Amino acid sequence: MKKVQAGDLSKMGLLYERYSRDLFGYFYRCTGDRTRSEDLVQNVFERIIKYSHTFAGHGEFSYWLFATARNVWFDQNRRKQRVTYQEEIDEEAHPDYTTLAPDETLHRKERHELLQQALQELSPEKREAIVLSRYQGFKYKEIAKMADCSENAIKSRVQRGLIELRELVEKLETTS
Amino acid sequence: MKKIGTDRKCEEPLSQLTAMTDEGDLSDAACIRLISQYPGCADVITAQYDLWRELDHLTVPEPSASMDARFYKFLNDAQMEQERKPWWLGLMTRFNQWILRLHPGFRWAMVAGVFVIGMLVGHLGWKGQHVNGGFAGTNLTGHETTETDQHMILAHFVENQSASSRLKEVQSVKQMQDPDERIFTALNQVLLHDPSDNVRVSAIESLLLFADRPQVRKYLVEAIPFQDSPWVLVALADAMILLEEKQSAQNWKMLLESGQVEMDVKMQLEETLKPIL
Repeated sequence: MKKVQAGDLSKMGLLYERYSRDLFGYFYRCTGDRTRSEDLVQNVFERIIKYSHTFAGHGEFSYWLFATARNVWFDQNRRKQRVTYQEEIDEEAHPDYTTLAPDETLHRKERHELLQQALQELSPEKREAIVLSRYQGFKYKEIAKMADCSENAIKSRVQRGLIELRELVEKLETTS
Repeated sequence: MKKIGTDRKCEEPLSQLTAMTDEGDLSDAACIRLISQYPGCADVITAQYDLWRELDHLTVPEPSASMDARFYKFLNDAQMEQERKPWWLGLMTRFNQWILRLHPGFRWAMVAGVFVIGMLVGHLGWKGQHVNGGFAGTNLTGHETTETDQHMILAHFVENQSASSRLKEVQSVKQMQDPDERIFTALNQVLLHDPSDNVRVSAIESLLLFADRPQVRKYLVEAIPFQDSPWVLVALADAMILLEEKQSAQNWKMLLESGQVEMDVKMQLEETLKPIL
């Protein structure tokens, strides 16, 4: 990153290789939309070049990266309406169900789809708190700093978010 | 299934469960211990724990091949842009980035220092012009300018070859109480055609003071497509934001989509102009 700051853009390729999949995963879990997630990854790397001077060089780069990713996502949310769940699920998103019995496969598949759908129904703040802590491994304290709120607020978002997620899944199971 | 959201007595064990997820202490054994402390909340704790583990199974698809292709094309374009820039512009960009990393106090101190030096240089330069019969006998600062003064200023816009002198003339408009339309027309011509970026930026500043006049706003908006200097474009963007001039959006979009603006400038402008684009 220091070399990028010094103007050596060729090093951006290394940063991309190291972080693009993680970023894509973060955006996909937040949006449920593969194409949009790819666009957001692109936006993040454009911002890295533009705002490389804001990375002070101390502290984890991954923290700065996901703080930037968070801003990109929220900026886009402010411009668009909340993303509703996509009717078509990407085929590649399915885990390997081949080792399960057919009934179990159907149940698990449906359950995961419902869980993904329910995650998209959460508010962006709760969704993000769950995604960043569960999948990106950030501590509540770190997420609080990114979101400019207290650690307790993040903890509450995760806790309430999980409760809400559970209720949403139950509701979706009943209606489907 | 029990509705766990309404069970207040289970708030405490759920809070502890959530804290464990942050500390990395969540496990089957930890869950069992929690249930033994709060047996009335066994269902709730188990449901929350199961859900947390189930989130592991939410997989993410592979991105399409085009994501990588797009990035590498963008990187290649950015590198080519960088190579096309004159060497001093790259140096200035890095200098600007260094400045932006400074403590705000240091930055303001540097700005103040540059301003003072600029004033000194301008003052000495103006004195020199004065001796050569520029505006002899005409005091343009701190007094209402007369019609004669305005004519002389207009004449100087045309005659004056020195950038520092043109800069001085443009800045002197700020002292005018009620400039007539010809002054704004002359400033507009400066904004469109002056070879010096500094003089153009100064023209923007002078025009901005009289932006309550529709014609002046029109000049500022219509000047957008005619600029290729990053400094002038940024100054114009700031002016449009200050004036909340949404009518400029069309011109900005055309300019930004034209491909004539460098990538880093384009991104900065898009960021600045968000409220009106």
